[in-house]
Amino acid sequence: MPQAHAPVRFSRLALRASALAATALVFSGMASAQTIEVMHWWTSASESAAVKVLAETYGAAGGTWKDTAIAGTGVAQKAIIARLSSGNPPGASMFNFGKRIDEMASEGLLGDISDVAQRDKWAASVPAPILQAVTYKGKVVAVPVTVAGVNWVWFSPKVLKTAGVAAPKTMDEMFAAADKIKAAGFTPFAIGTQAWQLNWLYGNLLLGNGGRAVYEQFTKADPAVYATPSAAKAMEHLLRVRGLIDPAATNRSWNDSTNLVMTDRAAFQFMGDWAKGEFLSAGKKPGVDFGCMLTPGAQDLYVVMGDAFAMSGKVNAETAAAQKKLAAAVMDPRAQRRFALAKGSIPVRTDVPSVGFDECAVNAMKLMADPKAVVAGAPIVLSGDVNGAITDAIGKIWATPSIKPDAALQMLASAMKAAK
Amino acid sequence: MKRTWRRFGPAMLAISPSLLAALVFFYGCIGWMIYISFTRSKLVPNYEWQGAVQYTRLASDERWHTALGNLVVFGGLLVILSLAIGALLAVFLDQKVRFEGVLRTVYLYPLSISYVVTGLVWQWLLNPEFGLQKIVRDLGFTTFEFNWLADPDRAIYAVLLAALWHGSGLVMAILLAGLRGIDGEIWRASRIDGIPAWRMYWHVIVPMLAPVIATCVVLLSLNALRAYDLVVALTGGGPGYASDLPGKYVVDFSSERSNLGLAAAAAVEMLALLALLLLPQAVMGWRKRRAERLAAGH
Repeated sequence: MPQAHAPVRFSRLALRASALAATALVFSGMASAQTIEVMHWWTSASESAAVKVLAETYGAAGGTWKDTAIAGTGVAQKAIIARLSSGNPPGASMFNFGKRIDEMASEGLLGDISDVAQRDKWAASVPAPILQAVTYKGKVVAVPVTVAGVNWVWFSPKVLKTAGVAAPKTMDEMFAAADKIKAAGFTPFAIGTQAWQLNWLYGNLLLGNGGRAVYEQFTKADPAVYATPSAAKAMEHLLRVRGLIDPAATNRSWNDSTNLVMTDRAAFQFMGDWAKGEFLSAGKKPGVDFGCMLTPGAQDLYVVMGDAFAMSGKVNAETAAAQKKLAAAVMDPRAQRRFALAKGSIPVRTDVPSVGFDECAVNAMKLMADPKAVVAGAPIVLSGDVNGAITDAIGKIWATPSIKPDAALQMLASAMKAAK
Repeated sequence: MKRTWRRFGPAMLAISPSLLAALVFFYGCIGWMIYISFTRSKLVPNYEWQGAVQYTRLASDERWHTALGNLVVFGGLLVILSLAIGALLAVFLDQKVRFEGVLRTVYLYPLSISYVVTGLVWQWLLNPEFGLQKIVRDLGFTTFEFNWLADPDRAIYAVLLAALWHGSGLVMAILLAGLRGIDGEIWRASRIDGIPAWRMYWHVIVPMLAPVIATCVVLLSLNALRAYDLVVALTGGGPGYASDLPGKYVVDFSSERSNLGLAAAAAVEMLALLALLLLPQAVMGWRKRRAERLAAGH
């Protein structure tokens, strides 16, 4: 009996085998046509979940997402630059909005997705400073993925209530409140005295005291900004903060400082909206356990920074097509919404409904939609060198207890001038 | 020439791959770095010759001056104090103590810990809120101050402390091995002559151990020059940049500051410093070999 059935079985087997082979061929053909390798450093739990949203959107559009995630921002950035400078770039790689994108583009290492930007009318839904951050000499070289706020102040409602102060609206109010908070036995400012955190603080003090005009003079690396009265007032405020911190602030990391606010031992922390992630992962509720406000004196402005996927240049036609598909997928409103919810940030598009976002995000999204409110933050506009030079100078100023504000401002101005 | 080739030919052939690798990757890369230091390379190399602009900037950069000064202080003290501590420990262990093996392991143990962990541990120890300062204060000395990490003048000594703790064990082990290699006869002779032990050590043993000590000096100098992860983990560069070292300066500027040109110039200055340090030793060695060759009548 087996002998009689053998030919039928064989042909059925052959049919199945050839069907399998054909399917494999089709799939491999599909994969090679639409595969894109994306290099990034989003490896924490919330970040990975957010990247998965984008990968799923890209997959639903008929492509294969090849994920190259590298833990550690510094390590990842070096790896990305090495790959881009070699002859074997990835399809897309992550960059902070900023001078690095310009530098890579000026070396001819980035591609051009201006046609996608035109077709999908990014100019209508993305705030101008963000679109500018991904444009080099009129060509759109990267797709903005997420936006983060620079001028956030995280505070403890319990500490403010116990000290009997209201959430300040101006810098003067904030420092008057700080004195009361100190008298009540709490730490007014939660900060670690690492140079970058002090630089971050001074940037916000400058913004709060001088508003948009002075801040933009600062981000354009004009050393004359340190001669303005707002800069002098901000420097006085910075030196006052010295007496308004706790003794364990030395070289403390930013998230340990956030912990002070979280456990209601300190009142205010100036930090970007990644600090919100710390509160949320500890189960704290915005508005109840912690409060969020924008820098006093500039609460009608939203100062932004963010991340983009830069499209590599010098790629073959297949990868170029995949890049355009990626750009469209990232900017898809539904993908932007799910991505922002997963990561704890806000969408780069202004036409995403704010239902489901927490109250801090809702406030930010409202400001994002107002073209007069969005300001490009220092991390976007200042070069790494200038930012580093003034960070060094601020560190030195902080480490010199007897320094006078004039001398400090002079130090900052000459540091900025030397690094330009 | 032909005789040299026949004698050394196979050996030269055998080492030629590594020689080639050393030439290309070592000297070739150093040459490339020297060239880059004369350009305005930012994030990626840019080969346009720009003259000595980066060196001009270095000459007026306060942070670089601080780093160089710190290197002299840190390096000098590291070598001297490591040798002193290592020598004391080695002499102590050489006295035929009972638990020599255990003690040797204990003193050598810090060497197995990475610089990053060393830096972190010492950062916790030096933290005023829960480190040594608090412990001593809890013991009753309420005005005890030990907050070097916050003091810009003392931060580099905190790095020195951690580096001493980490590396003294190695110096001890090397010197102990050297001491063990000394003939017992010398000790017997010294006892017959009635020479006190400390005088023996200082006037006889130390000169005999000169090559071993030289090895230790070289190792320690290299450790000091290469110090990077310890600084990052312990002080992050110190209050401001008070505990900065040239290694950290170069890495910072080549990565996050996006200024390859300046980093290369700083690295070239480090190389020049090292060459200057090794120059006397090289000249002495060259003179010695020349004298030997003349004496042998070549």
